[in-house]
Amino acid sequence: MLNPQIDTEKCNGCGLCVGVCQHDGLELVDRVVVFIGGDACTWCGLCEAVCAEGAIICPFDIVLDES
Amino acid sequence: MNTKLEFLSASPFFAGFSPAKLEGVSQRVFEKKLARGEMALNEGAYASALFFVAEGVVKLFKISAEGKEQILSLMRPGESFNDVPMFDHGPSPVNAQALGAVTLYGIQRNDLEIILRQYPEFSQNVIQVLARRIRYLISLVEDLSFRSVVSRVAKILVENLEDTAVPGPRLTQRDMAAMAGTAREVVSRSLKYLEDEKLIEMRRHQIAIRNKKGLEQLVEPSF
Repeated sequence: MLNPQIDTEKCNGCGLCVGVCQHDGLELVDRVVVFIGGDACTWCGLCEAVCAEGAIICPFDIVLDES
Repeated sequence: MNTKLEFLSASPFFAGFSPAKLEGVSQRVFEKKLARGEMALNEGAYASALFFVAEGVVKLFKISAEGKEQILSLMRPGESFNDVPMFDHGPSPVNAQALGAVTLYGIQRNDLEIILRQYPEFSQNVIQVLARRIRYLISLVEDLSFRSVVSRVAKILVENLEDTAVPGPRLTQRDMAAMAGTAREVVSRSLKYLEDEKLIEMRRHQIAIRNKKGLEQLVEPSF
């Protein structure tokens, strides 16, 4: 299972993403965000939206499924 | 045949080149690797090479004075960038950034000038490539001027649908906003609308197109 991508170099430890995650999927460890959410993450993208540094992203594959 | 030769033979810049000529050109091609997020070009700077994407995806974009990003195009394997500055000797009009791990092939400007002098057919190919670029930019102006945001988002989804042969770029909602020339929140609402219309389904790390025809109908310009 893919997780949101975190760039630890860019993360400034502000913790905004930890606060907005509705599934308690993120936490700060030594002032750097770490994903702990496992399958609970719905890929809502709120963490990505609040991150001013672009340190956490939720990219999508665009696929065809008309079944 | 080596990878570089195969690559060059498929590039529109070298259409019609014999294997011997391609071999000559390939001696002047260098390779450059980029990590995700690394910049290949900075707007306003002078870069001295024409680049081809060999592997991965490169984002070409501009940043407004307010810091808003507008993606001009996503360059996939086989496509080139920094060609305009190579021929008008001006600074780069765009920023170019690797969306993932990227391998580039490059040809330095002085080598390009040698190729231009050595092979007259190269000039004709360059004209065709630049003409296609102008056509694409006209279509981008049309998108930004005349299409609704929902239509623009639908177009982005259709154009970036993953091909089984070539993996598509993985796009964030922020990327889509920058491509559509709008805010991330507006893209989010547009995706929700498309999902409510049962044209797409939002899944974890996937946007599944459930009705491609319906989505394509939305792409029609709404004048």
